[in-house]
Amino acid sequence: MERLLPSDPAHLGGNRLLGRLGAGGMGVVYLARTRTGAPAAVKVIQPEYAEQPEFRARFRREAASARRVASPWVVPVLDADTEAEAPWLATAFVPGPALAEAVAACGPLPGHGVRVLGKVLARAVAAVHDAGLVHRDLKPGNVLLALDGPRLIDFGIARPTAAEETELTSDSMVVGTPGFLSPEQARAQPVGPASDVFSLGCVLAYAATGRPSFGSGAADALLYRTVHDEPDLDGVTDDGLRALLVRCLAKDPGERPSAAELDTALEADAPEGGIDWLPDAVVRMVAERSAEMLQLPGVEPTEVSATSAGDAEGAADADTGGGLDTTVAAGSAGPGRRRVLALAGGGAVLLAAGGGTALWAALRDDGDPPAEASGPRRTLGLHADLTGPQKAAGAAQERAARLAVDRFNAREKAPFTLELKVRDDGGDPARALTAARRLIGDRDVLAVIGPTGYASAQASLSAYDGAGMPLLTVSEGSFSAAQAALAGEPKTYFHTTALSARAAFTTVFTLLGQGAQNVGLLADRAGAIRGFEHSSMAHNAAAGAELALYLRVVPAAAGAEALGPVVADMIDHGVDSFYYTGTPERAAAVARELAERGFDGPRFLDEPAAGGAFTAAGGDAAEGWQALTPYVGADADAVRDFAAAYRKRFGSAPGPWAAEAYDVTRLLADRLAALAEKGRRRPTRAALAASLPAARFKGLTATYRFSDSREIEQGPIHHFRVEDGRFGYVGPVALPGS
Amino acid sequence: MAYGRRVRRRGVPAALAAVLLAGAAACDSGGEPESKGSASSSADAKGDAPPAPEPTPEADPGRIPRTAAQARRLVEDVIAGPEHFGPDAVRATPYESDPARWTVLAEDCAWRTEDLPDDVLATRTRYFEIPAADGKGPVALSATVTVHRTTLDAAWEQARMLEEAVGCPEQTLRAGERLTGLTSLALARGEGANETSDDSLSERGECVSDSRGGPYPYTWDQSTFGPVVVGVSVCAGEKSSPGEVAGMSVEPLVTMMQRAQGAVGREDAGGDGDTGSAGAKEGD
Repeated sequence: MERLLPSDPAHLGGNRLLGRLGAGGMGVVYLARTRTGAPAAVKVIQPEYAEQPEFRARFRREAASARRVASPWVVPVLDADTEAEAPWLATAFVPGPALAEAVAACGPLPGHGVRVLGKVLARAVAAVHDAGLVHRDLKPGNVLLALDGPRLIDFGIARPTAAEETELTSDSMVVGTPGFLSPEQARAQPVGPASDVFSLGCVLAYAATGRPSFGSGAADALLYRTVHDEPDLDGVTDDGLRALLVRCLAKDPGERPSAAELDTALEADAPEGGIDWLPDAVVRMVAERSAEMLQLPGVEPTEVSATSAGDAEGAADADTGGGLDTTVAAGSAGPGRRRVLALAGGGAVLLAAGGGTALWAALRDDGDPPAEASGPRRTLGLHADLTGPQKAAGAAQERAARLAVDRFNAREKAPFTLELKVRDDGGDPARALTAARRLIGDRDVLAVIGPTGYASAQASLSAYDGAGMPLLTVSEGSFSAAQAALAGEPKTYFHTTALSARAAFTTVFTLLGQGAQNVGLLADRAGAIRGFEHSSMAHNAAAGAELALYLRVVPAAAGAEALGPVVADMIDHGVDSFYYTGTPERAAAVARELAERGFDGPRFLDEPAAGGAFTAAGGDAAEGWQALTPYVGADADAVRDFAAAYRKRFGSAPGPWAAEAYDVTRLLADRLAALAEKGRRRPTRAALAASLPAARFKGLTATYRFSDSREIEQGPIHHFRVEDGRFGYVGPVALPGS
Repeated sequence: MAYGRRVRRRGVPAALAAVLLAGAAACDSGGEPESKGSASSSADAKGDAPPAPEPTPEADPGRIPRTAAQARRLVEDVIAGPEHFGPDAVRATPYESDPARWTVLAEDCAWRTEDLPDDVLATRTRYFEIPAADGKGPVALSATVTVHRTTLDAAWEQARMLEEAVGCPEQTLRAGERLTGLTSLALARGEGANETSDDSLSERGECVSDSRGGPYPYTWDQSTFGPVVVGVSVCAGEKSSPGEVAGMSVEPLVTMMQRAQGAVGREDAGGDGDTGSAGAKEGD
């Protein structure tokens, strides 16, 4: 949830607005408290839409229909004003995570869980259809998980028709979310209840496999596949379920079952009124998120009237005895022991006593974790490649982080004990996702330092982002990982060192300063996306500086023997300086080719290529090569004491990224200490993430201030030159404006 | 090897190209990307064993063409027709390129035709048009299929194309027709949003012609599978929206890629998913 903007009202129709839950093309959704004190999601439509009389008439009819939807699994409508200038509709607020987040963080649901989810959602959808509505945007983001079961939100009210959408916004012609909408929706044709059944099939397939059934990628390709291709149901081993999903996902609406038929067809012992059919990790996530939400101002159930009589909620809530329980009895004493059992033992014990009520009360009473003999603890996670291709970088960061943690804890009057939980992913994407899930699922972990490299980031970012876990990377300095992993801007992913593309940009200006007039840029695609970012940035920089540049690109599949002719060609074109982006081993081959031809103009490598393997394989040919990197050298004055302590403890000089990881650990400790001054309760991940942009922490290597895009401002860039077979530190590069 | 022909960069455009990878990559992933590759296939919610990697489509060395005649037949089977560009697309005149020639970008940033080099077994380009209608200008489209001798040769073609956009951001296609403001980006399988081809290259810019006017949005998308390279170009007309233009190349490109995979891919989709080594095995 985000703060209200200055332009937002404080009250709307008797609801007190507390914050913004989201904003879309049509208007804004706020978190609010109703007159009776119940938490609500209030959707407010922009006046431009409301001006259209057909729109308003439809909104009136749909709001009336929505009030008739009778299902415990659909959020009830609390109140509405369809005649206001900015019409609004209030539905009960569900504090739990969406199915999308739960699956992204905890993995696909087991077969039984999918059946129960399917049965519950089929009933919900059937109830919506019985009231004369069609949902039209059924997707994992619209299925919220509360402690006593799922809730369907955001159904068919005030959704523009395709015709209105094109008139008001010139872009989209398709309404709905690609990947979950039906073929008839993809073709902007009229939709009926059968369209919801298709979408429900997509949602269940997603829950069962962890993947959208029509893949991902560009919206156009998704729409095409939805209309033409068979859905991806690999991994659905339950044959009965698979057969049902195939029917739901029939291209012809007439061949799909109705929602009611789907409910009947899904055989499952649905223990209604609980969520013990969900995996433990999901239940913990739901409980944690629900508890966090209760800490918001104005949402404390103690402020709520103790009776539901006269509430707009109606009979629905009484049946479930759940949702956000507004009828907490005054004397719900003694839940402490039960709560400890519940959280330790997993889902089953939790819900034996029929529903979320008792747990709700228990969670509300006590937000602190079970007390430890040694006083309050704060836990940080470290996600690194400790055994794979980037183990040197990963291990340096782990050691430095441990050093920082130990020094913090050794302080007199440390406000809490810092703990570090480390997960090794070996640089493998599958293991990276697992490591992320483990750290996310551990509710003690408040922030994670890492990951080490691109592949791990691409694989794990959506899980971290979906869970709102603050993730601070030291060495993964690309633009592309976050873009590849997420649909929108990452919300809690912080780059604590300058993006490596900035070093590439600066390299060109450094070359200019060293007298270059015609730069030879050898972009080796063995450097993958990182290398591409660097070469792309370099030729853009040269263009801006009006510096002549000659680019050659070498495919990844080309052998090292292909590099010689390419280098020869570049020399023939009269280049007077060289910039290689790629890998250390191939850089060494390029260095040898240049040395053989007696080339002695300025020569630079990009950061990934500037590794020990370059100097080792390059031998004499590597002498004099330079590199600009976002990490400081171990013999820099600023890190002298740190380097001595590191050497003493670990027996070797700190490697690249160590000093930066040391600083980042201290930055997090500093933020946690600041939060500890404000309250004794352990802060939430969201609070820690929110405290980072406000940081002004002066570390050894940098002063930590973050831009809006969560990159460190003025992140230092450092200059190295190979001398006597190793990269020697030359010094920091002066940045413009510093 | 065909990488002999190179183009020297002539001068430098005054404006700093604002394209960062940020802007270019966004063209490819407009939808909702998820975590990629084997990380997202069926992982047991309770266990931590990494899931088995999904088999990656690979070219089968036993099925790729060895002779020019075989390659020409493959090109015929793979290349798209007007029906893949939408109901209003028709053949343009001329319709097909001369099979014995292919186009090459020369030192002065102008395109010329030359005889096929040694590493190209066959190539063909078809030209299409969506005639002017509803106040929108005509759209010029093309589809190209090239069959190289080896996967490595196809990889060099991609490399050259990336160089061309930097060496010649303005290019003369033929008399009276130019491309301007070109930038390009290539993603290997598993990078960014590319899950469907060995390598996927996008070039973006504008096209302008004496007869049709402009500048209008221009796209060239080219993907490889083994030694086969398939490409689609779109030169929009007056009043086409960028959204429409981006969508026009999807169906023909996907169709040609699927046909190529069907024609020369491994039938059992087995292997360890390492397409990089296929090229090395075939050698030069």
